[in-house]
Amino acid sequence: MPLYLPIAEMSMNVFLVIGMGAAVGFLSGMFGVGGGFLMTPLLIFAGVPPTVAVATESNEITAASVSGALAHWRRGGVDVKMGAVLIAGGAVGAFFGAKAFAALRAAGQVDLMIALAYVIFLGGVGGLMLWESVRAMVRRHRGQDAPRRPRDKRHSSWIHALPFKMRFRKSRLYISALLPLGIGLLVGVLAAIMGVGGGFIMVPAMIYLLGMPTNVVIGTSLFQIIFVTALTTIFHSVNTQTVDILLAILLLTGAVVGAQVGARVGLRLKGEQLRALLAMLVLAVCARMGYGLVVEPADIYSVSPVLD
Amino acid sequence: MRALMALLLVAACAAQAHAQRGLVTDISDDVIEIRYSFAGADLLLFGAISRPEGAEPMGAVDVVVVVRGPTAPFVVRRKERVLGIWVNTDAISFVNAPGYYAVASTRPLDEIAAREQLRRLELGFSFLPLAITQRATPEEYRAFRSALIRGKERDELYLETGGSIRIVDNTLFRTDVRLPANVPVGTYTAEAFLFEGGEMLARRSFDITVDKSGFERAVYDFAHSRPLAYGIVAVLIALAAGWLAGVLGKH
Repeated sequence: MPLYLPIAEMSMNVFLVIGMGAAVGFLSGMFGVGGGFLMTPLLIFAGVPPTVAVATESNEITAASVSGALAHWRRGGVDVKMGAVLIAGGAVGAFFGAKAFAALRAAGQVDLMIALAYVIFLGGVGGLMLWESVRAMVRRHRGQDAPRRPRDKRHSSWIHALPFKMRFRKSRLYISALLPLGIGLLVGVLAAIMGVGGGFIMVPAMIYLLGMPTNVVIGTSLFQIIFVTALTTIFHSVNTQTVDILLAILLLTGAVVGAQVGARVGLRLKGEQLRALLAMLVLAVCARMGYGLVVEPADIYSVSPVLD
Repeated sequence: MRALMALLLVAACAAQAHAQRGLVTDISDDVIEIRYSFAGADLLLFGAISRPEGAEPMGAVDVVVVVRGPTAPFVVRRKERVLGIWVNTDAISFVNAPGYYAVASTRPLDEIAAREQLRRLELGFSFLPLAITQRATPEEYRAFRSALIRGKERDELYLETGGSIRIVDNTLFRTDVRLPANVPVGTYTAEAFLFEGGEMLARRSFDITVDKSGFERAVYDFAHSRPLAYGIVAVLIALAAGWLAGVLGKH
């Protein structure tokens, strides 16, 4: 059943779109990730203009993060103060990210930038995750325990040296506000140019860089993602008019169902197995994006409307 | 003297015959509405050739039908390999390319009429006027121009199909016009040309309107006329849908 998408200005099969939402929802439910890094490339491979894919996916991530954030909120798993600082950084990052996105689109370089950002960030994160999970599997095989870091030695000395220290009670931290501001800023930029929530950068940064206790990491990350992707959606709407509400709703419909199923499957797998699988998935998307960059295009010329 | 008179008479008759060739055309739909289920439109364009009673065609009878969409500026970019990856480097902007351009004819255009004639009537890809404002060498212009046409052909927005029109009894003709799902909106012109023996004897044109309607129109207009409000509404819908999904997911 074909459906005309008013902003993407193309016709797509409804069941294909819902199916893509369900498949990505399944994987994100299974691995406990947002899924933006899978959905945006998938939309691009399906022929949706990259600009529409990125902007629309921001809108979908807002929706996909609400129920998770609410659940963590009720459980007391959100550090609101930390979240607010991350959001402040994220707002600035998303604003300039969306501006850069619009400027690169007019210059005909936005597709290249999206692909490069995917290759660099997914390659880096996927590589680290794979390395970490393989090490964990080897350790488990040998019957060793994971090494524990003492809580008072969580931060390197350069982090203690930063000014503007703030107390984050919920995270039991007293650190410079510049650190979460900077992390938020980077995540905001990535949200705007990659159509992702940025959890894949933020969660490791919260654990390893900020030293937040794990019980508030996911909730706070989701809390930040809702606000930053909402702002990103608005920025893209204003700058490039590329948010397709209809496409976002269809994807969400599939994702909701897929995530429920995926979460149940995920419970049956071991943590490091899941992480290794996720790492391979991340690396596969990275490789596919990278392949598109290096292989000679069928036609080295491309036509696009002139944007004012 | 008499011979000259006779010659003049024949010429006058011929001129009259020229003037009396006519075309009547119509189309199955002259308003195309892009709705939620739009997957393109197939139009049937048909017509009849009228001649004075008893007049025989003056040579081979050909019909050419051109459907043109609204013009818009387009940029053609060329990729080059930079440090191992393919990057857009050069670009040429065409100021007024039609968003849709389909030429159907009874035979390949170069068999129907002389090049000068085709050029004057802007018939066929070769004679489509595609202007640029920047400086470019003739080779570059040609390369980018043909890339524009190639790209539009890939999207099924430009078509040149010689031999797709059939004329019955030297009077009736029909052709199919395919508008794909990605057609630009606006006013299109469909024009039919009658050729006999390589001479253009009659032409007839009319308009086709392609427009988004209903929900599609409303969403598109909203997004472009009030982008900030659109963005806020998109966020509110996402928040509501996400919350609803969470509630439903629990049960």
